[in-house]
Amino acid sequence: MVAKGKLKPSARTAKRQQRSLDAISGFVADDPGGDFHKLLNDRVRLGILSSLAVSERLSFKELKGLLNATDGNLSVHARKLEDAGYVHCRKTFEDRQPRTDYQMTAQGKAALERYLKHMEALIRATSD
Amino acid sequence: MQVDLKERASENLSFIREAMARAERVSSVSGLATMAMGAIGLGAGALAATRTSLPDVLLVWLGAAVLAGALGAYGALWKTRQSETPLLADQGRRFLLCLLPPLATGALLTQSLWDGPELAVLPSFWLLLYGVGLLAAGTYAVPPVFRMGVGFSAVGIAAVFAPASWQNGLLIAGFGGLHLLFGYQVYRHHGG
Repeated sequence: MVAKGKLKPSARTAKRQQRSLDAISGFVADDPGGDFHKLLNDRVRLGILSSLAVSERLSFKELKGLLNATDGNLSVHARKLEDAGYVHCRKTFEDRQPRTDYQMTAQGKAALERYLKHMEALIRATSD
Repeated sequence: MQVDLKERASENLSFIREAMARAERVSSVSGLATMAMGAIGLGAGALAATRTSLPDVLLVWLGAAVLAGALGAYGALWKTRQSETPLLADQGRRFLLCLLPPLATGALLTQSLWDGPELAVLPSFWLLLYGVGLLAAGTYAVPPVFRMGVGFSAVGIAAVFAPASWQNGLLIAGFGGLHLLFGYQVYRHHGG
């Protein structure tokens, strides 16, 4: 009776650990080249996607201010996200000045959600 | 190694949360609703101009304030729903905490001065208090909101020194003109 009581929590813990490990391995299996992981492991790129997740559209200038990044740094990272299809870039002119706006694509939103789930799974797995 | 992974993952989640909180301010104010508030201001000004007594003029503006306030709140709700973000998340809550005290002060002052001889100072108080609220709340909103606060404060200061016959015009300039101008800026550059 006592032994049964002792075994129950550990079985539950093992199940939880297995679920967490499955989530992590699922993440890795879906991303054989590791491109997705590499893309979001950079703070500027992660910052761009996180900012665009709560703002429908952000200009280059706004993103630069929000992420405290330099022009060159931001444009390089934004281009990588654009190439991956995670953000959509729109260039226009405003009062004869060029203006660049960024919007997150459905693919970018899914990527950020997946990244968040992965981080949560990692925390759960290493907490057990 | 396990601790490192956990720390790294926690740090990443904190970074995402902070980046979202910083960017969130960009999404909470609706430009369209602000422009509609401006249109209500213009309409109220036109209607108030047909009234002869000061209490009647101010009553028209009070009615417009209630209508415009409801519209502004609905606009913020609509915009945050569109972007699937909670209205009262960190930045939105701070925005309201900065804006509401000056508005409540204005309501109390209106109530206490309504039957007295100082009724004529109310337009300048309204403009100044709304301007101060926007200046404070503007630190958590898109840049045009702060600039609109500067505008309202300037018009409010002008109203303090302006003769009584100018007060309706200054209310129109503030609640009509400034809402339209800065609402358009929010609409054009900050997601609608």
